Amino acid sequence: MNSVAVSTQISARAAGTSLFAMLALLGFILPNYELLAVSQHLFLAINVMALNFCLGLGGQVSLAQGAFCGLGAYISALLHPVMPGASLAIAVAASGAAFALAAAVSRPLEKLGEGFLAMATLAVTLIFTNLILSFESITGGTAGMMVDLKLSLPFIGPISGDKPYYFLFLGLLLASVLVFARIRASRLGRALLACHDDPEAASACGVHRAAVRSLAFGLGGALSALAGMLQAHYSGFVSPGQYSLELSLKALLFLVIGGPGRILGPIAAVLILETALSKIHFLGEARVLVHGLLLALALLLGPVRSFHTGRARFTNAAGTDT
Amino acid sequence: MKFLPALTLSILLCLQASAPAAGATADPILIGGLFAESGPAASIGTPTRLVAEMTIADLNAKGGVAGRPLKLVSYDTESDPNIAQRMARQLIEADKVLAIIGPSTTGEGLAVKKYTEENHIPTIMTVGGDPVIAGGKFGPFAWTFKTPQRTSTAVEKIYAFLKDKNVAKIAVLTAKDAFGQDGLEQLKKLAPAFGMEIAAEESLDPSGTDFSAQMFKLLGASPQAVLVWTIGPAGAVAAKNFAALPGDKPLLVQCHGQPSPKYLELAGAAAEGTLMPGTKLMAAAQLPDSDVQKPVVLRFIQMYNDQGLEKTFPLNTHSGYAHDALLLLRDGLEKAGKPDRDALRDALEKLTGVVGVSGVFNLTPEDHNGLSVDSLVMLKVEHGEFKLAQ
Repeated sequence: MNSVAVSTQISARAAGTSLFAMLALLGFILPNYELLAVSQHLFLAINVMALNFCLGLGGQVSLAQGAFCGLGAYISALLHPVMPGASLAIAVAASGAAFALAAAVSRPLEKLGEGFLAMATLAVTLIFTNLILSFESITGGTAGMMVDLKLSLPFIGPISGDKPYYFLFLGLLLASVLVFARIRASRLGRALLACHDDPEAASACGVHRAAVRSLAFGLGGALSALAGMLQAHYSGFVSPGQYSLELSLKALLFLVIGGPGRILGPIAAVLILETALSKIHFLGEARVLVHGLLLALALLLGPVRSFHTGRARFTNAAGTDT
Repeated sequence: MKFLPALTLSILLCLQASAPAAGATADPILIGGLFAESGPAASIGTPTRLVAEMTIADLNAKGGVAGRPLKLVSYDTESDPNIAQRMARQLIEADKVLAIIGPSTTGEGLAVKKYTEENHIPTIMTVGGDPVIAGGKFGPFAWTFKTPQRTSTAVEKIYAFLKDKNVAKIAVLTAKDAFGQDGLEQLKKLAPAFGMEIAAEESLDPSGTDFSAQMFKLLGASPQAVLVWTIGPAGAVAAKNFAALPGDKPLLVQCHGQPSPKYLELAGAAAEGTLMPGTKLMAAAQLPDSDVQKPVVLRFIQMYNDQGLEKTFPLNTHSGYAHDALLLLRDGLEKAGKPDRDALRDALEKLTGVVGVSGVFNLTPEDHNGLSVDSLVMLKVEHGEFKLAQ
């Protein structure tokens, strides 16, 4: 590793530390209702990081993040009345279920090409919404249901109020960043990056593609489920509309803008752009247009340009050779 | 100097704007408004805000509440429950409003409710769905009120009308969304009380474009009337599909969400003869003079036209809900005698005989809507217009 690489790594770490320090500071100075907005942005940022596991590392587009998030929210909302106070156990159950489901879904889908994978994961979200609607007696159907019971952690007790939730969201985001950075620098991360750059070459080098990718998918699913669980108890209300395709698309939008595979870019994109978008209320329906323009700009100019260069270079070279 | 006249004019305009409203000059009472002005519910939320502003101007011109004018602080909820919740908190914690009018959709209502109930904020919603004031698994509703009729009220109105026409066998086509689910539940629950037999039931996707198959199957059960329970264009589609089927056909009844010029426009000739319950706004001219609501409804329509709202948002059955919410608020405040949340809440749930556009409100601690079957009229489409059904 040369000195330039080391120094960029150090400066990235410094930037990350200062970002989280700043966010922690915000938790103490912002009035509660503003904190709610930042918490909602953090919730989205966690989902973006979750998507980062499969798209950023493994190179697989997923539109199922909303479903995994909703799974966590509904499991928690339904299990808490049965086991009040056992939030930690429920968190393990919810994230475990989401991990298993995401990994199981990913395995057969791994064979699909990019566009088809996106469609298959989109179907996962739609199926989830339909299941919620079909089991109306349990889930409350379209109207949703209230989540009255509070999260309760060992040593801390029941959690309520904006500040504790804000720091829970922030902590979960920090944890996701650390896990992501750790995996990216590991053997698993390199295997995933190899799959991302060129799936066939990765297989030829002995990487068990389906296995490593389903692991990444599963981690993303589990992380989304935890975010959904926090969100359900914070807002006190779950409905299928909160975990629809819109959430999945938003996560994808911000990840693409911030740069898949990066850490600070996507998080900064969520925090800055969501805050900015919430300040342009006066635009009304035109906000959708702003979303579209942002995506177009990101695709044209942003970090995603370098996203598929590995594969593109390979085919180009092959093309010119013949 | 060319710009001098323009400058003078703008100064004059500024002066005009800053001149205090006639009638009430004391410290204003702040009222929060949550309206879905963008997103899927924008067609409901935007006119709701305009009506709220219009009503507040009218109330202030009449002297406000106990000498103090009302002032509306409103935000766009983007039809999104999360943003509705955020905006509700901004209204209370930053703007320090006394009470809230809105939001516009049931999902937003439920999201806002948790906060307003816990923090004791009187909230008068303009949402169609009943869950917000249903209690049970949807939580307490001590501080939550709503002005649109309950689903059960509309079902009772239809059933009573049909029973009068000696109809006992019906078929129902309900939407798959929350509105349709709620409708189906009430239709089934209230059928025995009116001696109705539901001979067949089918469902429709509210974004669908053809329900001929469902209609055909329903007619196979040879009902005396077919009931369609959906909001938006799907109702008109169902009417068209119904009209296109051959043979002698039973009555077609739409739900209380349909009466609007849009239905007539979309269904065209197929709308002819269809029945539906609606608020008295839809047949104001035909109301008997003995109806206590008549002057209120006519005055509302007059104001609505004077504001030029009719052009952009043609009057429909839902137009008066924000107006009525503000009427309840005014009467509640006057009864309470002071702008205090606890006193206002207690006064609100004891209000009786408040004559609004959508009905005469008689609230009780158990009934936070207060509208009875008499608040609705049965409408029949005749020659492309809504007429009182005989």
